[in-house]
Amino acid sequence: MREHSEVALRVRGLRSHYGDVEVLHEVDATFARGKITVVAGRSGCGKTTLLRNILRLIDPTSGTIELFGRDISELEEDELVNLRPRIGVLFQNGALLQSLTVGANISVPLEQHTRLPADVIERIVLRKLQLVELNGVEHFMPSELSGGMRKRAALARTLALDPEIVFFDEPSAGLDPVTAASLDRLIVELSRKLGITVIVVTHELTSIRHIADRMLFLDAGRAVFEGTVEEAEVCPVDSVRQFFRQGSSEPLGRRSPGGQPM
Amino acid sequence: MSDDRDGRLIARQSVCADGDRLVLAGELTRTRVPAISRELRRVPLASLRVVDLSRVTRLDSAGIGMLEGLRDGLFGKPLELRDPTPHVAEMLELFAGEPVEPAPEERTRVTVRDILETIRYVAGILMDAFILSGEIFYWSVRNVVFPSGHRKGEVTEQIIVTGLNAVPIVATLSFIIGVILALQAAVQLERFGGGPFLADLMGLAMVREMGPLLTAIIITGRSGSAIASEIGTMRVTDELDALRAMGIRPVEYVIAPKMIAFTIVTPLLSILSAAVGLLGGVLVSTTFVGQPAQSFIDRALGILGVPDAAFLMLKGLLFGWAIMMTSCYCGYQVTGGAVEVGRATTQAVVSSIFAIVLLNVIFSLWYVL
Ligand SMILES: Nc1ncnc2c1ncn2[C@@H]1O[C@H](COP(=O)(O)OP(=O)(O)OP(=O)(O)O)[C@@H](O)[C@H]1O
Ligand SMILES: [Mg+2]
Repeated sequence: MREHSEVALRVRGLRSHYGDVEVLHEVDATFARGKITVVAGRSGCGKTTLLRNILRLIDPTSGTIELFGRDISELEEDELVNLRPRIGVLFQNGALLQSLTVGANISVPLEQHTRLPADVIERIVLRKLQLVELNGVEHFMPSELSGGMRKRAALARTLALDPEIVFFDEPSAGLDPVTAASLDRLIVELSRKLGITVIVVTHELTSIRHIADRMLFLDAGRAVFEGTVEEAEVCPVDSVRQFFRQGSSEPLGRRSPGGQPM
Repeated sequence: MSDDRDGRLIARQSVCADGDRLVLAGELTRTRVPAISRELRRVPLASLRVVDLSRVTRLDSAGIGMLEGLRDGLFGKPLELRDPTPHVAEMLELFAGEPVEPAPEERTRVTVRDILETIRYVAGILMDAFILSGEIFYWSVRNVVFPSGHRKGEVTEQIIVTGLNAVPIVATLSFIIGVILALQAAVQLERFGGGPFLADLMGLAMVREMGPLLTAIIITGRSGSAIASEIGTMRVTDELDALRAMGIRPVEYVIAPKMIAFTIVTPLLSILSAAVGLLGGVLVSTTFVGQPAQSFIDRALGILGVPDAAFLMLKGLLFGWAIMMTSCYCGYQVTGGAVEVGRATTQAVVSSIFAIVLLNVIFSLWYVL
């Protein structure tokens, strides 16, 4: 019973297709409430696809997605619209609206989902920008920011409505180590101080060691491991072991066994 | 020219058949591979079994590509690669792999199934477009009633962008077309003394046909293409998904304000276009035919009735909606990258104009019946 309340999100038997190609094969996974779960796996194994399914941006072929105590896998968009403000997402490249300033971008969810007066919204916008260490850029257009700044601005927008669960798709990809580390710290703080459930897709081993409470490993569209980082490091499953030995593995293109050169 | 001759010379020196051995010599690099490949086609390969690499001094990816071709039988039969120098062996090990089957080409023969597929595909497109149109209408009407679904001031901004900013170009083009039309007509009419009929003709032509048509074409070029590329880009950059993830409906937030603006703007622009076109007629009539402006206008308005004015606005409106639906649909079809955005934009313009012409046919039939 207690176990139940500690699970924020549970995915069961999730299958997903792009056209005729099945990308996720019966994925089962649980994500603990208030914890940081890292989703890892080789490029193209279906991590983004898993997120998109959970967020119902793609309709799953079959399976259930339990979030906020109900199965959302078959909800209509009309019902989802009411749940979405409680969920935050940071897309792989930020996905700020190019036609609006950074400040306007962050106020979009506030304007659409609350009736707050404009000056309060403005204050929230400034606070959120401060939170991601981006002061004084609210009048900039997204195109005037660097990639890393854009990502942090997008994070500010993600956090605008104080979501209960936040998804990050490769937050530190393309960031310098210092910014990446400060983003990691921010993620940890969000989770520890605000009790937000966080799900992070990432490849960065250092980042995983800093932030992860739990890990989910995908390999070619299957969940091959679930557990703590310590358990993951000693996990006998091939793809997981390879992941933690990153440095010592074979160079790209040499992996297939028996690939003898002429 | 001399480069080519040099190349040939080098190639001759680099390729030599010796019994069952094909001896390659010198550098097999991307500057020399083209000439060597050409030379290889002249060598009788029938008796060959082995490629001797002992005299190859340097190798790059192009050379490896050529050697793999020889090995895999690209020139008629597979050959064995032998005796590489250590450097060459290293390169081969690093970059060459097992024979790679290229992905099979898609079938090109047309079968009955393909035709059925195509029909299903087209029906699917029409169905999707229909559903999208329904959604756009629904959310636009809702947005008029509850304007909270989009950003404050967005409709006004769209009216300025699609409407106000288009006024100079619509007016200028309509005036010029009006003058041209009137000139052509006046010359013909004058021949049998029908000068005064110019007013009738211009009135009907501008109000029934040219006004809405010109407006629609300009709107397609200015706004239709912009909408398609905006939506297409938003898809590519995940902006539409980001909106959805925030619990905001893209149709309501992005498209509805444009739709409302279109609905207001297109009938008005059509009226403007027809009116300015008539002014062109006035100019020709006063200078060329000698009919005073007042009587031209009286005559032109006299032949038109209230239904014509209504038709003018209705036509403008329907054209506008057709452009809106087509452009949104084309924008939504983008899945890949920037190239597809460009293609969608072109597609939006072409399809919109096609839709406008089609609608125009229906309207013309309506007038006649
Ligand atoms: N829009 C799409 N249409 C068709 N196939 C797709 C599409 N998006 C992804 N795929 C395929 O689905 C598989 C999983 O893709 P996904 O983007 O989920 O991978 P990922 O684990 O997020 O990889 P990365 O770490 O590189 O971001 C890939 O093999 C990819 O080719
Ligand atoms: Mg991804």
